[in-house]
Amino acid sequence: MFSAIAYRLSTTFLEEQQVCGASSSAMSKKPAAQPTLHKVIMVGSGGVGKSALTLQFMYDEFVEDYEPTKADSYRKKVVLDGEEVQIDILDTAGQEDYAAIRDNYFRSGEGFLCVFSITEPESFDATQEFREQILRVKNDESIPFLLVGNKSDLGDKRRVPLDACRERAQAWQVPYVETSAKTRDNVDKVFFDLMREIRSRKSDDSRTANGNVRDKVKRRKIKCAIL
Amino acid sequence: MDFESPDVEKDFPGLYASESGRKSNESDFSDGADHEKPSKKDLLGRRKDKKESKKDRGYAALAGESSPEEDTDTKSPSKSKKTKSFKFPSKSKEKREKSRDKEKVQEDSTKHKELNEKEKKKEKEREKEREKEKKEKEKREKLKEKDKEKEEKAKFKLESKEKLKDDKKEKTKEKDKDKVKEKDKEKVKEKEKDKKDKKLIKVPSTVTSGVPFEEIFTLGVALPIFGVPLQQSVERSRCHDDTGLPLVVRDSIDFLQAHGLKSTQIYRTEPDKIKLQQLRKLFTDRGPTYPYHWDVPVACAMLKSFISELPDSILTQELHGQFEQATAIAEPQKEATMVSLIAKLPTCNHNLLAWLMRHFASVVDNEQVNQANIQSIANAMGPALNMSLNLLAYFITKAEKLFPDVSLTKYVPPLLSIPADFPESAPEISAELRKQESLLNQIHAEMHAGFITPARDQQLWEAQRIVTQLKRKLRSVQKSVEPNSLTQQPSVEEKLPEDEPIRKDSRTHETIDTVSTQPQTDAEPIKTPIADAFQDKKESPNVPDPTFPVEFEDNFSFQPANVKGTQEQDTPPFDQPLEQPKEKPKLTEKELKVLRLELENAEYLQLKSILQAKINSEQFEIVKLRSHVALKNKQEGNTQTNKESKEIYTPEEQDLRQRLMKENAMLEQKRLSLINQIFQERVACVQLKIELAMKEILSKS
Repeated sequence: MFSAIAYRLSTTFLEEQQVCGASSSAMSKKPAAQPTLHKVIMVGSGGVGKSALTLQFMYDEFVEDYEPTKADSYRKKVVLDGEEVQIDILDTAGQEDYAAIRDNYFRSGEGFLCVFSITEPESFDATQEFREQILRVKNDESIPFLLVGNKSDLGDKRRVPLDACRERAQAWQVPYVETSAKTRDNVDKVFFDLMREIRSRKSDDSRTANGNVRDKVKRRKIKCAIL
Repeated sequence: MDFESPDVEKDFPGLYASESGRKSNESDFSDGADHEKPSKKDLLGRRKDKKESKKDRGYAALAGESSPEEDTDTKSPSKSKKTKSFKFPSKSKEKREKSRDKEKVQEDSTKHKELNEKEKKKEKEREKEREKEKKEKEKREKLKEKDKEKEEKAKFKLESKEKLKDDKKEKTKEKDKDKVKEKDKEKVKEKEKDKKDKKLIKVPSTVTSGVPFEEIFTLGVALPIFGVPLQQSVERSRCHDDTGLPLVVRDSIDFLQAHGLKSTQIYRTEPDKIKLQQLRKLFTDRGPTYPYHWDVPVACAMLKSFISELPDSILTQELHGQFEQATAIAEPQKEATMVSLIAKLPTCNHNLLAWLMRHFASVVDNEQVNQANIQSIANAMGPALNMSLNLLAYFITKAEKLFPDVSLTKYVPPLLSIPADFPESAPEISAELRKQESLLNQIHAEMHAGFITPARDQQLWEAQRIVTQLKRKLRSVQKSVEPNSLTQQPSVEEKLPEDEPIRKDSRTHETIDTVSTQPQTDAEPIKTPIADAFQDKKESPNVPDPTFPVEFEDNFSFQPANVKGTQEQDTPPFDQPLEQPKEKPKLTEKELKVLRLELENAEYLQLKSILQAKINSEQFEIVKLRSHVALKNKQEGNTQTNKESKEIYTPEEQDLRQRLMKENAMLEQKRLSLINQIFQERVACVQLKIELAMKEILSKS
């Protein structure tokens, strides 16, 4: 009898702890007043314009001279559908040499812009591999992901047919957008579209995660209504 | 405890409340158990039958259920201790110390209590078992008991398994909560992992599978910084400026230089053991230290224990004897011999020695205030350094002459963010950039070793962002001073040559490690033809050594030296016609050479860091696999060995074995040749990249 009472006490106590944990987590977040942070990673072969897109988005500048990137990271505050958010952009190396470093970043990325140049079929082919790599690291088919055909200002030198791009995007079930880092065409769009995907993804996640947690504590769920 | 730390209470309302809650809970529980006992005895006395025994089992299960709470309880004091060290960076020192001491006492007492309680519980469980046994004896009279017993045991097992599961659940929950405590999250996790580790030893069978790696090892456990070769310690936890000292050493010397020179305690007083232990743990876990962790005796002891735990002499095994012998030489030659011997030391040893001796010298300079002379330093540090008094005295008195290029400057760690008023001058930006890149490399290396936590991820992105910011700044500064751009470039890479010996050193180990297991003769013929292609071009002045590993290494790290030789002596034809005619008006030959060497240096450094990262991850993989093997062996050691011994005896198996062995040998050979090819191609790639970069720079200017 007494042990049963003790047991009940212990479970209620555990629930209280959970509530405390939840409330303190809410509290610790509020005072900081940090806007939500979305982590975006640029991938694609060398020279397709990942850095150019990033710099255009960050600083409205177009850099003509090419300098291979090892890895660069930027942060910017933007207003996404009326809500202030922060975007972290990681500009990775296209060259295979830095693959080891790249993996470390892939793991923490929340959304990916997979860039190729519409004037360079090889870069288009390479997107396949990047996609696989990302899926391998993230282990998630529905990770926020955009296929981006850059250098749309060089339409006369186009060597990757639009149909092929759309087809691939269809197969992956991701959006396809053509951009020009030079003319700033669609540059904001790709970043904002991706952020929206990340955002909706996060809210989904938190919902399912809550569900899971509840499943786990099924037995102690009864009084969890306080939450 | 609650009253003494109101701040913590405010910050984490759940922290102490929960603890007291737990305690009351616990006492409730034991109460219940106490009441439980007599009733059971009653039952026993009346010789109740099966039903009662089932009820008993129910209680036993409950006891199992409760054990997680005990667990968390034992955890809590250490946790609160942990958080403490972070909570009051601003409080005054004495206050903090007092409160900490008190808390320690309290913690100890609570620990004792908990231990007692645990023991009580165990006893109770034992009693229960005894009771069961008694009951079973009684049943034996009525039934055929053996089957029963088995059943009983099986059920008991099930219960204990459930207990384990619950344990796990509890832990995951615990972790979720920990996420709240942003700052010390990592720490606490690691603590928990420690706990889990211990658990694993106790019950390896159920918990091993599927436990992520970082939960078995902590960074401090897997990649220790104490008691490992100096080079490794520097790689794992270093100052991110150009000194190449282990952080422990630098921090200790910094502290002593700042606060110890005028203190009579320096190299004399025994440290507070607990404080020393705490500081040591902080360094092992790569945690931040705050001034209140330090005092003069502790800093001395820290330095001493780091040095005495180095597996090798600070003067290296080969040179130690020569150093000692050199003390006997008469003066004019003595200094020259010493200088030449010091020059032979590996960079990290040289740095450590130089800093120590310069520091000791400055301590002795203040003898009138701190009353520490060479003798007292020798007493304190001689055994750790394993140096004779003569040698140590010589080093200290001649420190300035022997190590003229070292000055004791306070370490400024890499910035956490770039302030708005960050200096706009290229040297300062590039100095900070180097620090940040060093930090970034370290984070990458740690992650490659398998230590991936959200906190480290965050750190990685932040460091990367600062690097990017600095690069942009540097570029804009350089652009604004366009004509100087060429002279400034060297400043970015000034320090690279200093790194050279370190790299060489580490590579020697690595290459020998990787190669020594493989048959040398096999690799040699495959390698040389490809290697010739490059050797021809460079007309290497260094005759390749006959042994394979050394040659391997030669090619790799002495390359810059080779190129230097060729360019200075007989400029090779293959790059001369390309660049010289165009650029003569603007760039002198010398500048070109410098530029080329710099580029080459940068390339190799990059290559080095990548390889280093891979090596680290592989080393860690080895550790991990070994531990898994060990665990597996423990689990199924007996059955496995039986099977294996059977397999060996059948002739068919023998055949298969031989075939496989042959195949393996072939594959090994192929692998070797592939490694060589990759290596050669890397070299070629680097060369081509340099070519490209040179052209680009030249065409720009």
